[in-house]
Amino acid sequence: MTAPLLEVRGLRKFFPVHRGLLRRVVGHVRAVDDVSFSLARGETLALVGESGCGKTTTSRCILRALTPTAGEILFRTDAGVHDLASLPKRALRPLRRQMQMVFQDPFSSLNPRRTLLDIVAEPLVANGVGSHAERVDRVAELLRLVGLRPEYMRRYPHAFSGGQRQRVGIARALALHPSLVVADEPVSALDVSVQAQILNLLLELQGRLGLTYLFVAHDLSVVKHVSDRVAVMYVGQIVELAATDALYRTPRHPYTEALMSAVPKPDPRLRGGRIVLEGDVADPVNPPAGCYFNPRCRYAVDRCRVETPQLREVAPGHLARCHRAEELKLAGIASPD
Amino acid sequence: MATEPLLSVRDLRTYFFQDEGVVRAVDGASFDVWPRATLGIVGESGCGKSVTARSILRIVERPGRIVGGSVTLRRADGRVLDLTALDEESTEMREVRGAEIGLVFQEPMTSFSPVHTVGNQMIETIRLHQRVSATEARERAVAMLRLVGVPRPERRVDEYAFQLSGGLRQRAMIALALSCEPRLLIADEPTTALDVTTQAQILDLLRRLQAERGMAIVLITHNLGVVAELCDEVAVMYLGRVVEHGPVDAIFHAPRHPYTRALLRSMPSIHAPVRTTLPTIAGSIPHPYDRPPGCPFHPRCPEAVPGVCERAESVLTQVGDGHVVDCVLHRTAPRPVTP
Repeated sequence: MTAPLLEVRGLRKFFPVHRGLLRRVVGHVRAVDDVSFSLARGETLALVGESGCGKTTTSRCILRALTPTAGEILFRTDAGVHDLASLPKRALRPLRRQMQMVFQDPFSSLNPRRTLLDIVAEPLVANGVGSHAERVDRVAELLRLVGLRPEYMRRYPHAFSGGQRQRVGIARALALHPSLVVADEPVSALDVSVQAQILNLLLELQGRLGLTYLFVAHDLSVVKHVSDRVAVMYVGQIVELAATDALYRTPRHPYTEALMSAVPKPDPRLRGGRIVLEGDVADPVNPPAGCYFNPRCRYAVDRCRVETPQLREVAPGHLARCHRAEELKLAGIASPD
Repeated sequence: MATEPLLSVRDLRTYFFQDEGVVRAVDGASFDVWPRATLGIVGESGCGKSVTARSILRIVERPGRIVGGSVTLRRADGRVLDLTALDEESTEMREVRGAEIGLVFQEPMTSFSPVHTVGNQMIETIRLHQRVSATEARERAVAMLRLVGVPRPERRVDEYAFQLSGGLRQRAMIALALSCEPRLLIADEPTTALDVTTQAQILDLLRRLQAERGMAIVLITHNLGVVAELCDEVAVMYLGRVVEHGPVDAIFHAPRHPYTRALLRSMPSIHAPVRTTLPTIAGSIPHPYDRPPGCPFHPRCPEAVPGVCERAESVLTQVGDGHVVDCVLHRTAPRPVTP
């Protein structure tokens, strides 16, 4: 196996909580708390979880939009391996060309006062790539790549629908030939009929350009359509990580089981039998003792309330953070072969 | 099912008159809501589903107004009222809002006042519609919060909306909407802003409340999964029109309109094989000023008949038991009906 493009080890990001007149630090939000995974070249890894689970914070740390509190983020380029977590800002600049982002909201992520040409060419201008004429050619090529007509490049974003704008956002992310694309909820703001178009486009571009995706999403149905592997996060930690098919078919963590069960199935004949979790997600400032999921877990035993489980391999390539991962028979989603 | 619908919407038209032109947000929508049943109104952005709800409650904001059609409500005392004929500000309309029809919004954060406690807003609603003392209203508010599953309601009643989590806030919103025991609850995307596990809790709550109180629910959503979970009947809207309406099982297992069929096919499914491309609907939803003539779906329709669909008039044709569809392909049996 070739060396991974990206390797995250023991990533932590804590945000201080201030209180009172003197703004004393009274605690920390443990937004990302010991997250480790690797990402092979050409692969798609999805980070899934509910709001506040730390999936977006993890992706922002990787792009160094946030500076991690601890941990290593090893990113491989032709020039060697770089630890993004500790590099000074200036040394990061040449590396940023190789990691780009696609944002959730195609309405607020495109400047309404600039044409598509300005928007898509911006990464080229910022990095001093090519002459003006070369940039125009490159933008035309990129627009064609994402399924837009190059004639549109003199128009402004307001003339385009949500799906078309998301295509512009993708074209911009691809302008500098990145090796890693971080897509944070790229389809959740889109209508169903348009969502499918963008998901197909992402799959097609990956095949054509050999892109590596870190796909951050909350929708398990969407994730299944694009990912090779899936990491499920809960209160700042990865609770389960496995190949997509294995994770959906045979989940090994009770939270994954509950999450899949909670997805409304588009078939009235499959009603009922859902696992409804009690209560709310644990407070990341003050997480419960033992397993963070234990207060909501229907399989919790005494050990879960005292001893913190570690993320460990429970089957080949299948990691879970649960004391009872081997003994529990959890319900997955049967999928056609 | 009861013999008479609780609410009948007929050929409702709500237009927005703007400087740039007229947006026909709702353009001839018709459907019935039966007592104790749940009707789902589904559609993508711009299909007019939220404006339909606002038209029923007569809270359409300017420059929008109802230009045609009727909304008939059968009141508890047997009186029949056409809501479109009432003045928005009239006493009768105020009696209907809250007391007869409750409304739950998508974003509970922006629908609660940030400067009044949750309890005070509930007490205000209760006392507006019923002659009870402040203490009694407060007790009722606490009881409602308990009913919808808010823990420690006697403390929560004095908190502000921003102190509650997303799920609790939506529960409080439902408690507020139900505080005067309406016979119809309109829920506009009640779970869209919530996480899936919280969404499952709220859907369960709505189902339980309906079983206990026997109210009718109109659930407005873009999420077909939520519809399949909760609804008895479904109306599918596209660009201001109901294109198909029928029992939930028929809509999901024997859809007739090309739009309904395409929408169901293009939906990412948790049951699909890993990493598969999805069938798509060509193009995108037209801009509201740029509505296609005839059938609104024909430019994107894979089964469009050239020369026919762009001139087709809107007619609902019966294709099954309680199942109607507005499409030229289903007009061979010439039985146009009003649903």
